[in-house]
Amino acid sequence: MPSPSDKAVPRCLLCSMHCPIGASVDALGHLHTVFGPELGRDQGACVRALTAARLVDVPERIFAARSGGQATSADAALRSLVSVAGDRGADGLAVMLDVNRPLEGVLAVAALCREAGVRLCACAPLEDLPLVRAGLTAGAPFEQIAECDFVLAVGDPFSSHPAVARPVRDMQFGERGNRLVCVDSAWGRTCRGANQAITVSPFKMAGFMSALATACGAESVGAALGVKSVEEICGMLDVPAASVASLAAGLKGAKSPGIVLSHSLGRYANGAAVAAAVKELAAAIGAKVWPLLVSTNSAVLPALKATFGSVELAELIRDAEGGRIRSLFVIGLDPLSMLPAKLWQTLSEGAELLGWAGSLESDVCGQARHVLPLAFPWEEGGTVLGPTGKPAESPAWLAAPPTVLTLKDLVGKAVSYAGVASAPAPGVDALLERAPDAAPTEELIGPEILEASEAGEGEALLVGASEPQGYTGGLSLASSNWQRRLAAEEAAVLSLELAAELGITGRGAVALTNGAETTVPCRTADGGEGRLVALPAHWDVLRELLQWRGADGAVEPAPALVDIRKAE
Amino acid sequence: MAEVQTVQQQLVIDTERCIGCKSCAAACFYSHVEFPALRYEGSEGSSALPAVCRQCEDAPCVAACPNDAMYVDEAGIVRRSPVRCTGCRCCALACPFGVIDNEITRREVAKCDLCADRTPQGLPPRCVSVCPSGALKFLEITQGVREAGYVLVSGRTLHGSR
Repeated sequence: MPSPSDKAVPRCLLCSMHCPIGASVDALGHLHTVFGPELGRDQGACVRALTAARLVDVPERIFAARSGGQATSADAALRSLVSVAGDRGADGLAVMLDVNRPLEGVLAVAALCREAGVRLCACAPLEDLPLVRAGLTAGAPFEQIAECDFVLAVGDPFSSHPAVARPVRDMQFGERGNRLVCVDSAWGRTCRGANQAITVSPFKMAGFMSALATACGAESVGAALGVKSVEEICGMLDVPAASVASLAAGLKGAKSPGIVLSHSLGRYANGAAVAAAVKELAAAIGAKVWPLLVSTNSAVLPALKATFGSVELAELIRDAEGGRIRSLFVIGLDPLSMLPAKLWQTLSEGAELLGWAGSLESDVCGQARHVLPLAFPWEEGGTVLGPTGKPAESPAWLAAPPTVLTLKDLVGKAVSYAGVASAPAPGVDALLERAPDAAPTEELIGPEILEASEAGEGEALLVGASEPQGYTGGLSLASSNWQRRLAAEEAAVLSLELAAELGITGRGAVALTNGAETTVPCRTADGGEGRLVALPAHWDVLRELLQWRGADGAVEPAPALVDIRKAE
Repeated sequence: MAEVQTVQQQLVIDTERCIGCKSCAAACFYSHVEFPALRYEGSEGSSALPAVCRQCEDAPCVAACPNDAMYVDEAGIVRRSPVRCTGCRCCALACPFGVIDNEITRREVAKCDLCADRTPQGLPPRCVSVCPSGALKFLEITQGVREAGYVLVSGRTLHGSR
């Protein structure tokens, strides 16, 4: 079953399901994937896990360091990088670090940054941030989903986390009367497989979930909204109160209700409010919640902030805009496969990209003075947070090539070249003890979530659609051959209403305008309501079209209102 | 020494469980040197299904092959000899299910062998091992596939030890 959670099982780190997966290389150098049955687990994995092994020898793999565009050794490049950084001073340097790696390396980098007075920005997949803010980062073991008799799926978990389908299907077919109800902004795999699917405008999702929580007895949600009744919330949102009441009755009548919460890139607005409403709803009816993160390690962000003063991305951007950052060192993530180009430009415009440590070629390489070859997270053993939120051993299931640095190597060498005393790092357990409490509900839910944008004629609401083959956590999987093969099949999905208005049946193309115009292939959905266009979440163009900056300056991807027309 | 018995195992799908993630197709793609024998048909809509060789008992592809490249092995799997195959496409034309692909540049056909490197070891084919929703299964079914609530993807009498 899913969740090897706290045991030392080779695992896929590309989502919080942690499916058992491994790989071996035979005497002839051929790579063989090792599946769940060989690892003693009756559980599959999705295409992302398969891709993880296959990225090892793709042509885009970086095996050698480069300085100023010239090949050099990793040692020489790192020594030069440390020397230049030392000359420039610590106060103008910022390190962006991917947290989806064994935590020993993450903590070592954080400790070194603190010791050296360097600004650290620990980066997690952006769709995880609202769940982290709401304190929804771990749940019971996934197999317990099968023990529920009523599961509410929020978002499209079958697409964002395909392996969760197994216990959900076990629940659905386990006993007569068990039900899966999906509330999502667009028609996806989960809606298709649910006993009941409710599509809610992406801007109304937080309001709808707040109404549902209030209907189930979560008084704090209504109080945060400043309204007295479910009918009042539904009236302001213009959603039928009967559908909320019916769903609330189903949840309250269930013996063992469960909620599976998926938040993929741009799927719905006000993600933190949705997560907070889900949390309050679960508490009110005694339901178990399974929040689906892209990276389980995202949960350490508050503790890294409290312990090491790690700054959020929004703060880093503000510092860059204010000219307070002169040099950047990015470790483990490809900003251009995670952020829109305009945000990365804001960050990198005033600061030189002094170094980039990564595993696969990216456009970022061309901007970096020093490029360091870094191991994939599954080529480095250590501790990660398991799906239940507890530290779990994550063995390296492939050996890192000899010319490639692990994160621990990188820190060790940097400490030595900088000539500073080795900075003591706390253990993972000690770090977790320092995690502050999550933001309270009234901070995350407010009347602003009841203000929803609507699409008029010639317009559409643009949302992201997670695809099993895609990954949005800052590691581009596009290098994999399977991704390339599927690329020709990928398309934007138009809601039925929109497709009918544009005169598109089956397949076609649409031009989307939100600033600049872009044309994408499209197909029609097979269900759902509203004027929606859903783009695969791993498409670069989606990131460019989404809204990114919240009113408070937070970097939070959200659906966008776009102009749409049929393209020839 | 293990007693040799006839084991009827069938590759079946529980269509209610399938979520259309194409992990089965990816597993086949990667394990067959990017030349998959399993295709994912009709990626739109709930009728999408993996399509793969049915391992026919009286296989038309075997009869159609002019080079004796197609044969039924001792385990009952319809196999293709890459040495004898010239990529003439006769088997693909003869296949009543349209699940044999012709690859022009390699002059080969893609042909499912139910992961013949795994099944003798008691391991399921890769498409079954990877299936995240538990929709694909490799089972001994005695009462009939439909009666058991499945749709046949590929089935064959495998003769092996158990």
